[in-house]
Amino acid sequence: MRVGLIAMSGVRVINPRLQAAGVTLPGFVRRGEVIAQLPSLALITLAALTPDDVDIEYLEIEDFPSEEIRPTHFDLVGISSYTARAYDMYVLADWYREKGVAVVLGGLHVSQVPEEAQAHADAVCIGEAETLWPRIIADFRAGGRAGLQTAYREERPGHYDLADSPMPRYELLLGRRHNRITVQTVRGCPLDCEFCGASKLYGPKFRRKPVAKVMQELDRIEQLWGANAFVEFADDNSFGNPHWARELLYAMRGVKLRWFTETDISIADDDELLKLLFETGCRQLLIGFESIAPATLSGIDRAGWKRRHLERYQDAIRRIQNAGISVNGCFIVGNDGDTPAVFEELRDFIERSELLDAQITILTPFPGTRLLQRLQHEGRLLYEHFWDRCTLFDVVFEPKNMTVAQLEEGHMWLMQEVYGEERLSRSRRRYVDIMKRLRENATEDPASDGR
Amino acid sequence: MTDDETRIAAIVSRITHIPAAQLSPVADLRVDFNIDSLAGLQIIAAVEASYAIEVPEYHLADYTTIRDIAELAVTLSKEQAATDDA
Repeated sequence: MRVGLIAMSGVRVINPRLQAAGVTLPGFVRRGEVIAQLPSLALITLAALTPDDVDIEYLEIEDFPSEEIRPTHFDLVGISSYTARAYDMYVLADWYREKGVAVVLGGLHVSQVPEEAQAHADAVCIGEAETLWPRIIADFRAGGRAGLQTAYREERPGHYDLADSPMPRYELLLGRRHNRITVQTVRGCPLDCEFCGASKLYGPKFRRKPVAKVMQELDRIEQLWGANAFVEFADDNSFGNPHWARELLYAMRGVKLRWFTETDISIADDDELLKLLFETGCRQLLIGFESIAPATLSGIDRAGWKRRHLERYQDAIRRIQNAGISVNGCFIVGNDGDTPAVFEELRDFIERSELLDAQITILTPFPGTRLLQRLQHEGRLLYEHFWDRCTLFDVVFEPKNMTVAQLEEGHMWLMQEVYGEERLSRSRRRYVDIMKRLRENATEDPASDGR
Repeated sequence: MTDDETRIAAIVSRITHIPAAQLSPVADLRVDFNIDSLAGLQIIAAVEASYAIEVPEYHLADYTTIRDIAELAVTLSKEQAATDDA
């Protein structure tokens, strides 16, 4: 039996002006490259859950840019996609089904709109796939395409125990172009932000992978790629639980990898964690600040956690960056509280806070989110079908306090301000100066190697 | 490798954990060793400290090989020493 696992990798911005500008905005280009280079951790995890006597191939859509070179030797293909490439996924799925290959679709997007995906698949996988994939393979083996159910649904969403997760088949990525290798350490988030689709799939509870398991995965990566590996923790918030964070980071001392993850600003309160982050090779934290407007933040998460921490943003950024960790601050524009003044306000905040990196995205109603429901209810969606525009850089709804054109132009202006060469150069100098200061301090501390 | 290239290679090795013996003076640190932009800046910071120089802001990301960095360090070291003397 031959199974192909296909990732619909990469996302293309639709807005032609932004596409054109991307050529001249080095920070934007760099970010696009990073996203395009991320492998599908979900699919190499499913590969590990596939019986040994099944031939498995991991592929990415860029591997076969034309139909002529598309592999057809599979009995079954499993395909996963970002929402922005969902339509491409459906075209590919239809093509494989016409060729007589069974198609299973899964992932975050499919789990949110399973009825839509079902029209293009023999089976859809709804929810976290670890418990479902072995059943899918067994059913297919027993009865071929006819043996598959049309839908496999996780029985207890948000409860899969990461202690049971297998070691992903990282070796399937050898020889590919990825410069970042992903590891997942936690799932779930209690904040339930209005725009977040991941929390709908993973649920509100922080579920942690046992530290020993994370270490095995990091060891495996180091074994395969040596010190060249750059690891991205594919978590929504790695350090929501400081006790677990401490346990993980102490275990990671001695690991010779550089890594990146996402968390919240509470990490800034803990000097010990910050020191551990730097010592273990963490080079950047991505933090979702979302907005600097109190009214906007109040409406984002149900408990108002982000609003309560707004006053601390600037101090938190300074503390984290002074510990040698670059902060990549994420902001969303197009929120209901945003007026055309938001772009200049954000530019000023980014300058004032000396953020080393920033990501400015446009509010996007992903499937399954409360945001999509609300915009639908309010009749503010611009298109009936718009998954291909869910790139985070394209506008798909009528903003409340500005026009669509103002949002597009303001976002474009802010991108040029933030990702232009002048600001990048200043950020680089800032980072070099922080590193030099840390080296000087480390020289005074004989226990440190100055890393 | 020249003495300066060896000195730079030792810095690169200490920061990235890549054994110095694997580092060629002409290898592209990003492409051949997957050294990310932040690690690249960390290397520049260590070079600035080691040679007591300051790399101009607009050139902080221009250098891709150990040879490039060594040549830059030597050139700036001479230029900035001359400026200090003046």
